[in-house]
Amino acid sequence: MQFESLLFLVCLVGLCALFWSFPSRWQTLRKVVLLVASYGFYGLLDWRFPVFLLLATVSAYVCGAYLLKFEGERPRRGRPIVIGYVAVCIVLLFIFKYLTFFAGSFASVFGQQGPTFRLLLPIGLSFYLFMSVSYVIDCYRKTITKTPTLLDFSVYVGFFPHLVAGPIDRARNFIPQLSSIGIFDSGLFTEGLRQMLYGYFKKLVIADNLNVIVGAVWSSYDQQNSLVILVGAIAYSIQIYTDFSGYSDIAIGTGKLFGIRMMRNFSFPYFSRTVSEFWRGWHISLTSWFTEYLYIPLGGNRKGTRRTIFNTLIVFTLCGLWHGANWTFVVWGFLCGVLFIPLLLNAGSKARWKSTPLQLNAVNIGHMLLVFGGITLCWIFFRSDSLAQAFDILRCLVVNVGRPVSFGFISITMAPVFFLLLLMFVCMEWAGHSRDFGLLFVQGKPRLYRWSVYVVLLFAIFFYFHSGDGQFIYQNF
Amino acid sequence: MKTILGNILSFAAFFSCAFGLLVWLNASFLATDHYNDEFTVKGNLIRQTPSPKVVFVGGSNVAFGIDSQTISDSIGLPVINAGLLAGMGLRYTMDRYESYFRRGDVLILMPEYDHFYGDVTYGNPETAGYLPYLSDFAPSLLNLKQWNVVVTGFFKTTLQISVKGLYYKLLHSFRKEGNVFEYKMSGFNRLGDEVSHRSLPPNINNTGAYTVSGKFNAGYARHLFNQVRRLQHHGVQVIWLPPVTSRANVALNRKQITLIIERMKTAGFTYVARPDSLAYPDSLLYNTVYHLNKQGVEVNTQRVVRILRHCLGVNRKRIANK
Repeated sequence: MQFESLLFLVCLVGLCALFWSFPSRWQTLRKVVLLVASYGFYGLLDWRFPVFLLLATVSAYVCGAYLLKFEGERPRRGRPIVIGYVAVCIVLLFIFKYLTFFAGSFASVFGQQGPTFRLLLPIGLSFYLFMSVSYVIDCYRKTITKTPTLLDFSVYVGFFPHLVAGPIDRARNFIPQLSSIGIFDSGLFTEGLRQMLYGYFKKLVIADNLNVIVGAVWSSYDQQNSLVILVGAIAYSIQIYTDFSGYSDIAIGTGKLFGIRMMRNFSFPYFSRTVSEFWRGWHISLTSWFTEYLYIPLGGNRKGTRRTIFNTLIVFTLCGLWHGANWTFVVWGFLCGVLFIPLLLNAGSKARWKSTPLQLNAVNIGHMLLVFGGITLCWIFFRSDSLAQAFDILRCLVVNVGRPVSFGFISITMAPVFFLLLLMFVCMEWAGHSRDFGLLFVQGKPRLYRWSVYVVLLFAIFFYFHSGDGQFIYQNF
Repeated sequence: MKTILGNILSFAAFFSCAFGLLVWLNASFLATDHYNDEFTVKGNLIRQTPSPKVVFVGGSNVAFGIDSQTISDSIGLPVINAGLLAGMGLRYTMDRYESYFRRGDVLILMPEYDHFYGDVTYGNPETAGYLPYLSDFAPSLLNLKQWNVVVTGFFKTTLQISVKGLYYKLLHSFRKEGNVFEYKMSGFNRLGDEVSHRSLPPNINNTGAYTVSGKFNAGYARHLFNQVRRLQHHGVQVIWLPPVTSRANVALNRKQITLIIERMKTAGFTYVARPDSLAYPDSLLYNTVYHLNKQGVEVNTQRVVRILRHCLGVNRKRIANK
C-alpha cells in the first residue's frame, strides 16, 4: 500500500478515528492499535516482511534489556553484545542487499559474470535495522537508562509512517512520547495535516513531473546539448529533494496525527551556503546517525585534520554504500566527502557561516549556487545506472555544446502551469525556511488566505496525480 | 477535538464550494463538447434503434476503425459503433450497455487486448473520472477497484478539464486554430464513428507498439464470459472479433494474445478471425497503435464486412427461421 494511494488515505482516516475514539486513559489499547496497523501495513507489501521486522524488534529488545542490567557501569561484558548485534545486522544487510553486488564485482575482476542470488529484500530493512542498532548502542552508552516495555519498543521500531523509508528516529526521543499518547493536541494534529498536504504536493506535483524531464534526458543524453543535460541534472537535484522530503513530510505529518513528533529529516538543504550546512539539512536522521554512531567513535574531528578528512571520507563512502548496491552510490558518497575537504582545511569558515544570517544577498546567493552546483554534479552519479554512464554524462556535459538545443522531446502535461507551480514551490520554501517546513509560512495569516493556499495545493495534486506509477525513490534503499 | 473537527468540516465545505464551481464551469462552458459524453449518446443509440441491429463494442479501436454506414449497407442491418475509449473500462461499458440489447441483436465484441490484463478493464482515472459527469452514470455498477479509479479520477478530470479548457480558450483567442485533431463529441457521426480525424494527416509520433503488461485478469475474464452467455441466453448473437491494431503490436504481444485465445477457448468462445487479419502496417495508422487513418478505415471496413457476411450470412438464415 503506497502512501499516495486512496486506500492508504481511507485506512488512515479510519485508523485516526479508531485511535482517538478510545478514552485517553486507554493508552495501552492505543499502542496496540498502532502496532497492529503497522504490522498490517507492512504485511500488505509482502506477508513475509513482518517476520523480519519481528525478529529485528525482539533481538534488539533482548540485547538492550541485557545491556541495561548493568546499571551505572559500562562493563566489558556488554561490549561483545553490542559488537555481536551490530555484526549480525551488518551481515544481514550484506546478505540481503549486497551479496549479489559484491559477488558480481569480485567475479568481474577475473572477467567472469557473478552469480545472482534471488533473495527477498524486505523493504525498509536498512531503516529499521539502523533504528534497532541505535537503540542497542544507546543502551550500552546509557543514553537510554530504562528498558521500555516490549509494546513501546515494538511501536517505535514498527511505526508504519517511518517503517519503509524513515526518518530514522532515536528511541530516546520517540519512546517517551508514547507515555503521553492519550492526550489530543489539536495544534499538532493540524500541523500534521498541513505537513502531509505539503508532502503530497512536493511528491505528486513537483517530483513526479521532474521525473519526466530527468527520465527523458537520461535516456538520450548523448544526443542532447550540454544545456539540456544540465537542466536534466538540475531537475534531478530538485526531484530527489522533493521526492524524499515529500515522503518525509507525509511520514512525519502522519505521525503528528497520532500525537507523535518524529525526527525532522530535512531543513531546506538547497539554501545552504556551505557543504557542512547542506549535510545538516539533508536526510538529517541518517547523517546524524552516521555522525553519532560512526564518525564520532572513529575519532570525529578530535585527532587532527588528516584523520578528520579520513574519517569524513570513510563515513560518506559508507553512507553512499548504504543507499544501494552499486558503485555509483559508493562514488557519490566519496565525492560528497571530497566536497567537505576545503571546509575541513579552512576550519574558521564553518563558524563564520554559522553566525551569518541567511538572507537574499549576492554573497549568500553566490555560495548557495556553488553548493547546489557541487551537489548536483554528485547527484549525476547517484541517478546513473553505472559509473560508465555517469562519466559519459559528465563528458557530454562538456563536449555537447555544439549540439542543437531542444526540449521538445520532453512531454509534461501543461508545462507552463507546472513551471508556475515550481516557482510557487521555491517561493514557499524560501518564505517558510525559518520554520519546520515550507507550508508553515501561512501561520499567522488570515484564514481565507490559508485556506486558499491549501485549495491551490490540493487542486495541483488532483491535476497532476498519476495513479500507480510513482514510487518514492528512497523506498528502494 | 470538537474545534478541529469543526475546522476540518468548514474547510471541507470551502473546498467543496471551490471544487463545485469548477464542476459547474466544466458542465456549463468548458466541457460542452467532451469526447466522453459520446458514451451516453451511444447508449441511447443502442436503446432506441429497433432490433435487429448490429452493435460494435470495444475501445477506441472500434471508434476509429470502422465505417458503420458502409457495413450497414453491406449486411442490410442497422449498425451502431459503440466503441469509445479503452480508458473508460470495458467492464463498465459492457455492464452499462448489457441491458440495452434485445433479442435478435448482434453484438460484435472487439476489446483491446489490454482489457484482459492487469486492471485496465476497470478504467483509468483520466477517462473513467469523467463518468460522474454523464447523465446515465450508474454508480451501482462499480466494484471497489472501479470506485477507486472513478473517485481519484473525478477530481483529476475536473481539474484537467478546467485548467486545460481555460488554457486552450485563452490560447485560441491569440492563435488561429490549425489542422489539429481534438478528441471531441462533435467528431462523431450519427452512427458513432469518429470521423473528424479522417480528413487530417496522420500523427505517427505515438504509434509505436507497446507490451501489454500485468497478469491475466482471470476474474474479469470470467465476468465477461458470463455476461456473454447471459446475452446469448436472451437471444443476442455475440461475435468475437480481434481488435484493430498494428502488425507490430500483434507481433510484440503474441504471447499475451495466445493466452487470451486459450482462455476464450476454455470458456467455449473463439475469435471468428485471426488477430493478424485485423492487424495493419503503420502506414494505415492514425495517431496511436489502435487508431486507423482514413485509408486504414476503408481497408478495415471491407475486411470486417467480409467477416460479418460469412458469420451472419449463415446465422441470419437461422434467425429468420426461428
